[in-house]
Amino acid sequence: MRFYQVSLDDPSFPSLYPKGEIVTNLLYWLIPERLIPRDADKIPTYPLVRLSDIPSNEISFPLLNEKFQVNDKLRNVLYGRRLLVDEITAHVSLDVIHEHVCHGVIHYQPAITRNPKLTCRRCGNDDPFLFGDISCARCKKMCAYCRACLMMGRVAECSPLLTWNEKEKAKEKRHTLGWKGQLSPAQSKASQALVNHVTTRYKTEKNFLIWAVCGAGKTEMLFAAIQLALTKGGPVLVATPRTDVVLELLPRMTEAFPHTVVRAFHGGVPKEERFEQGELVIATTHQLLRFYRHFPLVIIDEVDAFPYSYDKKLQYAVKNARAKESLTVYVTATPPDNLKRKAASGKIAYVKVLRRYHGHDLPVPKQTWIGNWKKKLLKGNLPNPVIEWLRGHIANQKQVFLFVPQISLMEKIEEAVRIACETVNVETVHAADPSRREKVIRFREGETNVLVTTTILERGVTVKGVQVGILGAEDRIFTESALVQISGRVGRSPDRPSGDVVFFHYGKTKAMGQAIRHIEMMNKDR
Amino acid sequence: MSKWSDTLSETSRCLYCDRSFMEEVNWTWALGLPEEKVLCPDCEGKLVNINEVGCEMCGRQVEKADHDFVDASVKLPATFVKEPVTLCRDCAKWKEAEKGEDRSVQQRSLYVYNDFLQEVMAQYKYRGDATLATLFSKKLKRLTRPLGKIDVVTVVPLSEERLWERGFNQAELLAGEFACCDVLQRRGETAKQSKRDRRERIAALQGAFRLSVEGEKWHWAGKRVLIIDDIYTTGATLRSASTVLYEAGAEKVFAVTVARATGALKNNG
Ligand SMILES: [Zn+2]
Ligand SMILES: [Zn+2]
Ligand SMILES: [Zn+2]
Ligand SMILES: [Zn+2]
Repeated sequence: MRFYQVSLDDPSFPSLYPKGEIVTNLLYWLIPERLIPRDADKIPTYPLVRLSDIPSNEISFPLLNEKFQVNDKLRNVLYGRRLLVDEITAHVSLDVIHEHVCHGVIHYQPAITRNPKLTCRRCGNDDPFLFGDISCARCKKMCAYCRACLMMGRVAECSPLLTWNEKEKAKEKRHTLGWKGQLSPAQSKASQALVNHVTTRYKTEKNFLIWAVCGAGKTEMLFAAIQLALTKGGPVLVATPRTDVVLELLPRMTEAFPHTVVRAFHGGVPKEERFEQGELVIATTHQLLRFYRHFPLVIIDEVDAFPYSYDKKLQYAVKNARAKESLTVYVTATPPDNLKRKAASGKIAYVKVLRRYHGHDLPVPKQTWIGNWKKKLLKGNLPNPVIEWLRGHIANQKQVFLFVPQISLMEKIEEAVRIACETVNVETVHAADPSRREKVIRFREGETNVLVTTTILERGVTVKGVQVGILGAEDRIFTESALVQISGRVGRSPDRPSGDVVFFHYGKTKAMGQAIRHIEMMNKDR
Repeated sequence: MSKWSDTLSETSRCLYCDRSFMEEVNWTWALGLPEEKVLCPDCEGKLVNINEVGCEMCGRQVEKADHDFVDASVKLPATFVKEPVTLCRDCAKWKEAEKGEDRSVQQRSLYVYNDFLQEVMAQYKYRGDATLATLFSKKLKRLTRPLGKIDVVTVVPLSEERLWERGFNQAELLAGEFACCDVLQRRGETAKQSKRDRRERIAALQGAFRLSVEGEKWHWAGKRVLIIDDIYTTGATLRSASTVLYEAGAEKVFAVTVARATGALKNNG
């Protein structure tokens, strides 16, 4: 969109900005082009500009008018966030937004800048391939847009990003902890270390790492610190890369904090609920892009769930979502190398929890060579070791996760399992599967014996007494981290602590060896 | 030492799914006919070309034998023809209604509007990934080659509100390889098309367009006009736009679109 740069002393558009003296270094009023109808009596003769075309040192806003009565609906949407105009005009009209800008409550930032290189300010993307360039109907010139964060609404070079400039005073409120369970000694130690960090007033941006094995009961360790941070008055963010995990955390957190407003944000949240305010926010890492300098406590669960290339994006999103004075906690079973290095050199404070909360070892994966299984699969067959393994567990009434490297193979595998093991309920599920949730529920309730899946279920989803096979463990997609995580699915419940993990492979890989050593190390380290 | 075939391939990134893929440099390159691949083989493979039609007018594909619009035994090449002879039931009906006055629109599409193309078009149109127009613009140009001389190329216009919402007219970007003129203009808002049934849509579109200020400047007598659009569903939009042009005096109106919905698909365009 474009703005008229209207001179401060021009009296022609009095309805569009407040009267009276402006104590500020404001250079001109920015009046959105769309607020002046094209058939209006007076059309400004001032230049029509895009925010991104104004030199950054010339972009200034009126001082915050403390007496101005803000629009509650607008505050609810924008407070703690950084949003596109289009995201807000679904709730309040452009003239209301403009009024808040005139009173210093809302500030604009250009969404895309070109200096020193083309960059999307919302998601941090600066890869030239991930920008488009079109003749834009809104600003009437060539206008770049970000392709990297398109799913959150299109960011164009002429789009302003809006922020809420009013600081809310921290409210005193009691947040009770509804969870009455008992922490294990290892959990208590981590929980206490985290609480100590939250107690210390953070003057800058601080980081903390919790290195916890799968099944260590991570969520419970976080409760005390979350409660403390909430009581101190700031909103708390728990972010994770996967929607599944958000959906699993929501009921647990709601139960644990009965007097707290808990909100979940992920891609599937309906439009009208997308901009609610929450005291405890659980969100996918994508949704972090909508928050701005908001959370004094940020907890990132499963940091390593995405490949390294994702790290930069995540760091950018976290940096914008966290408050200036804040603590960011990384919780993970397999810290990425850069975090491990920082922990080892003392650059980041950390605590290790290497025992599962029921004190049992993680099962050490077995490796079974199965030859050229893809070729066999083309003829509709599974390798014999896989068939025998499946039949054994099915006979013992055990449920099986069968991980596969490619979505395109799932159907063939499902068919082959059905042929190999009669009277078995097999289902397949992958990331983009529209009935994913229903399928996971059916598996959890024991209706399905075998669930063939891609890596989507590797984290956070827990099913009692499940067995795990990885068909094609040699595939590049199965990194050390992925394999450790997948192995951690097994035997998560204290009443059924043992389980079977098998890497069915056509050639051992480095990652497989590393994963096994990793698990053995964790079992030794007491 | 690297194999010499390695030097003849390079890595590209798929414009749709962003995965890297190896592009085999074939001999069209040596012949000076470079055709850069922008889609990876996976995505490319999911696009289904329309090579045969059952109706020479609207370009309807040959469908299953029990389909009541097209004689399934008729399989004609999908290129534009001089004089459409074989017509589907719909087109025959329209022809009858015209009572000798030629108001026909010969229409051709690049691809079948299958699930994959629906995703691509949604990413393009609704999410606003305007760059995806480059996947189709050259191919659309090639599709119109058999038409010979065309005097005016235009697109179906968007309402001002819709244009602001999207930031671009999806049809205009698809026409990027043509010198496109805005000769048409929308009369007023029509409600969201996909929510209506076929009859309602056709009724609502009657008189949806008129000549724009620029369009009124043209001398339309004897002009051959080409309309470019994204998706062909019922043909109602194109028929409505072409009526305006015929009434202004145009000699012939043709149309090309990226996607052709089959009868089986829910109306979506
Ligand atoms: Zn972006
Ligand atoms: Zn623009
Ligand atoms: Zn692709
Ligand atoms: Zn026809």
